[in-house]
Amino acid sequence: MKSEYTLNDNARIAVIGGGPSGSLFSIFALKMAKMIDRKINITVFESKDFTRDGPVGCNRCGGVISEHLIQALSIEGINIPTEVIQRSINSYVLHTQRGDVFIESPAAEKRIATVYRGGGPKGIRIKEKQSFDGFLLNCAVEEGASHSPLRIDGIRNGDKPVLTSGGNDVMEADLVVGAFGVNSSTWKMFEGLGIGYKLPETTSAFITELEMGFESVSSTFGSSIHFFLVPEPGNVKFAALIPKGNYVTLCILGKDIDEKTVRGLLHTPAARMLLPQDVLDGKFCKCFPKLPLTTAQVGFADRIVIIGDAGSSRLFKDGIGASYMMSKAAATAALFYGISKQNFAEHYLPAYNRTRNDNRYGRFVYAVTNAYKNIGILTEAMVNVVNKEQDRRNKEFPRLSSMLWDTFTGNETYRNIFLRGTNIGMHKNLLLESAKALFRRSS
Amino acid sequence: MNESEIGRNYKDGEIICREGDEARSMYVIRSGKVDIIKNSSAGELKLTTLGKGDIFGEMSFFDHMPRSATARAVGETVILSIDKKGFFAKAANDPSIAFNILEGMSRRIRSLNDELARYKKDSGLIY
Repeated sequence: MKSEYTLNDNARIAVIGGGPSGSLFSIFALKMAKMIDRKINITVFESKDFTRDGPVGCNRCGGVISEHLIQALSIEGINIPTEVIQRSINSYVLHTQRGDVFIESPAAEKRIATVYRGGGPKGIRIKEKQSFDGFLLNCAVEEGASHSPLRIDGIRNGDKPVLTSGGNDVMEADLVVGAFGVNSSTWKMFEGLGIGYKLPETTSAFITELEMGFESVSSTFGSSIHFFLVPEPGNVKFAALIPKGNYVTLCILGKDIDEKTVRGLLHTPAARMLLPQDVLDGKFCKCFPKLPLTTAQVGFADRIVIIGDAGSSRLFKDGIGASYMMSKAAATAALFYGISKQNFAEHYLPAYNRTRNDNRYGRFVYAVTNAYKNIGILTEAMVNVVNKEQDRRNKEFPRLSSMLWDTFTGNETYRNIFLRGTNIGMHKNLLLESAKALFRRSS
Repeated sequence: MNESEIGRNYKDGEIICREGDEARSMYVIRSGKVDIIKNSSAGELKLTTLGKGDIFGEMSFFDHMPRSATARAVGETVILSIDKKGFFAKAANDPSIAFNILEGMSRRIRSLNDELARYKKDSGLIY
């Protein structure tokens, strides 16, 4: 028996937002429809032009595609072309108050990609590469979706939701997919629908693009992302320097980040070794994007599902990886089960909750990381244990290194990182190294 | 290797995985070509040549047997490896991740069926 909440032949799906969540939902939904011989029509409403440089063409994030996402997309047949990848990454350098640690990918292979979400930093002179978001949107169009540059500014909820733009009805949809981030104002439309949706709580980050030139970025950074776990400036939770083509992206997560904080961080010894002192002089592209800290209340209703950062995302890391998981779960629910609130509760909510529950472990992991960042003896112990592990990495499993790798790359669930951290042998090593550090200090 | 290329670079003739080895990864060809080779009493038999976007090494993931064939790079080739544990962890939550692999395996079985039918016809085993 057919339910009124089933996507039948010629069903119309409106996807509001053409970032990774919207494009991936469209790709997966169209592929699944093909599998079950169903013809569906998807329109992706995205007014942003991803070929444009600067904030107008950008979805504002650090632009790191994690190992697990690269692998998942490749298995799905979505191979990110070199024309989109700014740099491939196989290692991290962790800068601490007690020295630096080099952590290489356990696979000894370049499986992390850095990208620009849009057309690159404002004023970019040589545009050799394409936008990641633009690439995924093109994949969705190739799969059969239509792209509309119209900005949707209203949804009228009747038997079926009706999308409006500039006061005109644009489309009556069987299903509306809200694929928007916490930085757009689209959430207001969904809060206004009376379905109980409430935007997640957010924190702010700071992102800037520092121009260094291709050769200089290559020789200074190679294939490594540099992470700063330093106690000063005190308002910085953590920071990263991410190599791109001619630029290095500086991402800072913390509270009330201003120019003084940025200069303070760039004057730490590690940053001074990496960056020219005049790097902040002159114009540079910068933004203060919000990051979700919690998951949204009620991400679905009859004929409506919300994916992306404004639904449920991973804490601090791998937001695009979360987009992949949530868009897949929403497409699976809609195509194989139905589009009622009950269908989404049964088949989308579990994925939603998995991310929310995992973020609880994430908070604990970051609290511990924070302690190791701020307490000198612990920092020294961590640096020494990781250095020893890296020396013996071919002989035994580098447990702490792998935990740090997975935490900073977003490669593993926080739960698995937490569970790996319950190993007694690793804590014995850390305790021993802490005692040695304490002894060195007292003598 | 290009700064923008992900995966690992293999030189012409380099072995990516060897028949009989334990399987910990499957592979996606990012660029270049790969010969799939089977050793037999008659010597080396080339089964097929795979190209960009093709996935190989997945059989051992599912049947838990050693590698059934050797994969060898043809020219400069870039390969992305996929971890076994990571794949099954993903598949446990989202079985649809295997759909594309199943499609590829089905295509391969279909082509093997055609080849088998041709072989039987040519060798007079069917009339």
